[in-house]
Amino acid sequence: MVIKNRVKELRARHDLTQGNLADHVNVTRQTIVALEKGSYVPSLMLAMNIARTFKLPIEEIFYLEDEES
Amino acid sequence: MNIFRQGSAIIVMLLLFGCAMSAFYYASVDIAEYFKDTSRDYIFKINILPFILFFVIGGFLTFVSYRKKKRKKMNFTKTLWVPDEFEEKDEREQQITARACRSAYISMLYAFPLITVLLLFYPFISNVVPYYPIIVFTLLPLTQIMTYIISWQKNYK
Repeated sequence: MVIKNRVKELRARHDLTQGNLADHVNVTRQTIVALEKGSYVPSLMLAMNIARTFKLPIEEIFYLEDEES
Repeated sequence: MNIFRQGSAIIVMLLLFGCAMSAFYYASVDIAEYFKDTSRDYIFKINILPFILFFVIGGFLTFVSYRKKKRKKMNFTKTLWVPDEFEEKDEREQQITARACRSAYISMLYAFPLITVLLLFYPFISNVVPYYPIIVFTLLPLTQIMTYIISWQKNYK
């Protein structure tokens, strides 16, 4: 199982750059890049901050997926 | 955070310190001989070039690091004691640092016996390189910092 996310899609929908989102949630732009690539699984705190920025529940942004798919 | 630049600065400092201590080895031998024969007209002779290089280059690198930390308004204890490699900006960098520390710790477990074995060669080359143990001992922190940098770079991408 892997954790996937819709951060890239939601960021585009909210018209935010990676840098803007990074500033909103208090991390570096590289962390947003890694998050979108799926190479970094955020902490609960960061996930909650991202969810608050997009005004969505966490489970609508981050979800589990089988590794094969 | 440019770990490669910060790590390189530490490697340079370690190498310069190793050179300075190697130069001091001869002085140490002189001092020991002086105490056996105090009638000699000098206590020790030393090549001060490695020391000058260590203090000039080391001082410059320390000043650059100190000024950078001051600009970031870090507290005095952090400015003085925390190495530049631990300036994590967010949770991901903290995680990368933790992984790099783990790798550096494991590297020590392998480096220690290897370096101890290298010390066994000392009797064979003590006449040619009398300061051999200093060189070998310097390999220990070099292994640690290089493992740390490699791990950091690998996990940062």
